[in-house]
Amino acid sequence: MAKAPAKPPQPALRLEWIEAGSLAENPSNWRRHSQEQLSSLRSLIEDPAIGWAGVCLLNERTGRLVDGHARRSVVSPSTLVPVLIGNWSEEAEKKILLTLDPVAMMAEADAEQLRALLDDVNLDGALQPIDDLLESLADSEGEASATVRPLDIKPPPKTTWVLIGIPTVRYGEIAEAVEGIAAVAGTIVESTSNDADIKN
Amino acid sequence: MTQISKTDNGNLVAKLELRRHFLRKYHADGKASILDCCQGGGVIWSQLRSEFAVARYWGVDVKPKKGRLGIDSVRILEQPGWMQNVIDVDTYGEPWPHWFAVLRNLSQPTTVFLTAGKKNNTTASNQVLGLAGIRFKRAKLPLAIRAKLYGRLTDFAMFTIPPSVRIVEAAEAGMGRECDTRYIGIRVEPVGPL
Repeated sequence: MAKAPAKPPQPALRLEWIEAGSLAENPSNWRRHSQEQLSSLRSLIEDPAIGWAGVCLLNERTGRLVDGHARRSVVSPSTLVPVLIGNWSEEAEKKILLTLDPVAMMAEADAEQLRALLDDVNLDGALQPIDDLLESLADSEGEASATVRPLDIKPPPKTTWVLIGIPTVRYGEIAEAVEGIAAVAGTIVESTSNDADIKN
Repeated sequence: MTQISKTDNGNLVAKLELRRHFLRKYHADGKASILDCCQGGGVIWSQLRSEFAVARYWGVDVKPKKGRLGIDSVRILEQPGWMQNVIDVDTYGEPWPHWFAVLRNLSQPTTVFLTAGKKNNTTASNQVLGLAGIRFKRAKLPLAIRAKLYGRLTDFAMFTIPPSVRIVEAAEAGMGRECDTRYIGIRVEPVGPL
């Protein structure tokens, strides 16, 4: 006889897509979000390769958000956002609100793994603050050490601007730049032709 | 989500080591008076102040924060008469407006810390471009070339100084791996009678 499927642990959770504007903020939310954090978050959500990779958390008993205030705030009120809905007492809701992020923050970093991942992934633009944070974390968790070296105190000669890889077909677009550089006394301007793409 | 504090502190170890080098060498007398131009979260100097005796510390930032006015520190340095002997410009943007203002109004031997260039460093002000003799208004250059070109501008901006100033020492801190951001310390003094 087939075994009856095990009942899910209580309280039950379900996922729904709900308009961001209809999600009520939690008055006890203690987390504040900087513009940089919101920009980074918006950038990730708007990245077509990523989109929603996390959900908001809602307590249906109180009708309040427990997690996801930042995600809710970076989209228009009519945007449908993924919401994980549960049912908790007010006391339990407060405990979740208080501990959800700190529990995640208690994780330690494996500096080597982190460094490898950082080298593999390009975080720029709005994600730059995250990159800086992770670089700092990788350094502080690893055996990072810095060296201080003296700098030669001489302005570099104005004769070393060399432009390489300028496609002939698009040379006209940079003519002004080349002329500007070439106008500096003693400057050597070299160009070769190839089909390298120009992205500006 | 928890707030990620503003971190212009990628490579914090390098930044700290650079500052320690200059503090040990020029400010061991405990008379350092610091102007932290881009205080942010204040991580760097709260650490350093736990290690070194300093006479005064004033942290400002263009972004206001509780207990701190939003002040553009370039405007402080552009006014002659500031008395700090350590100027820290750990900025996301170009440090050169600060640097040029320090050079113009230098009145005593001073240590300056500059954070120059960022990843994908492809912008530079006309002021810095001009120092290198580049006067075109708009350059359409491949990104890789533009990054290299603009990277070189750091040397022009750093070492093109007026005759009234002498560079005593310049040093750079690194982490032993490639990094587009440069962490530079420069000790300068006015030339001639004070």
